[in-house]
Amino acid sequence: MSPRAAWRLETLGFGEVYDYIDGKVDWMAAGLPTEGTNAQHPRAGDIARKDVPTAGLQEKLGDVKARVEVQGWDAVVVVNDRRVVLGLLRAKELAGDPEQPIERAMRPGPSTFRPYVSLHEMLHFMVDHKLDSAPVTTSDGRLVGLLLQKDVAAEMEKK
Amino acid sequence: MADSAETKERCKGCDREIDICAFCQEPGCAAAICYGCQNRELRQTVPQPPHAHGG
Repeated sequence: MSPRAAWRLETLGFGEVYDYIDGKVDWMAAGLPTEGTNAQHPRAGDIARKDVPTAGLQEKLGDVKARVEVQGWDAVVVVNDRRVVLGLLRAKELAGDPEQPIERAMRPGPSTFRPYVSLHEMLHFMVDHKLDSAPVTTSDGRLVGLLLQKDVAAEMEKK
Repeated sequence: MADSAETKERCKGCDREIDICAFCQEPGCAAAICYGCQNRELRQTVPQPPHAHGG
């Protein structure tokens, strides 16, 4: 909210009021809760799979592939020690030379999407682009989860 | 002489020439879109007109 609105709330008796300088969009991009009519609709961050496997740049592709296959995944998000997304491995990349490091095997700088993006719009895009999954991150690039097209479609069917 | 012209994509939103689709990053994408149009369509950035309030 604006500083004036914050001051006004204080005059109304609210004790802890903050001016969130980066704005509402950044708040939502961090996956933080919102209120109001729109808050009722599920968004990308709500159904993105938080348990998506991750890997570091220096790991060997074969090791990562073996680890994630037993979990039933065909996608891995490459992150640093702060969970900032650096790359993505889909089935095509996972099928590469098992001896190479992730850094060489990965698809670098993948497109990422904010948690507040509406499922309806994401589904439309994912179908048009034949994309099975898309990483969801905060505005500073930290991994929220992997959004699966099949999950989005199932969620939309509930309506 | 060999034809060296590169095949570039065009954004379906603004028709600008782009290297690769910002959404799927796949060459030859039939629904190629630039980063700016993608963000607008997904409402990942909100246009900030001059604020009506005194903020």
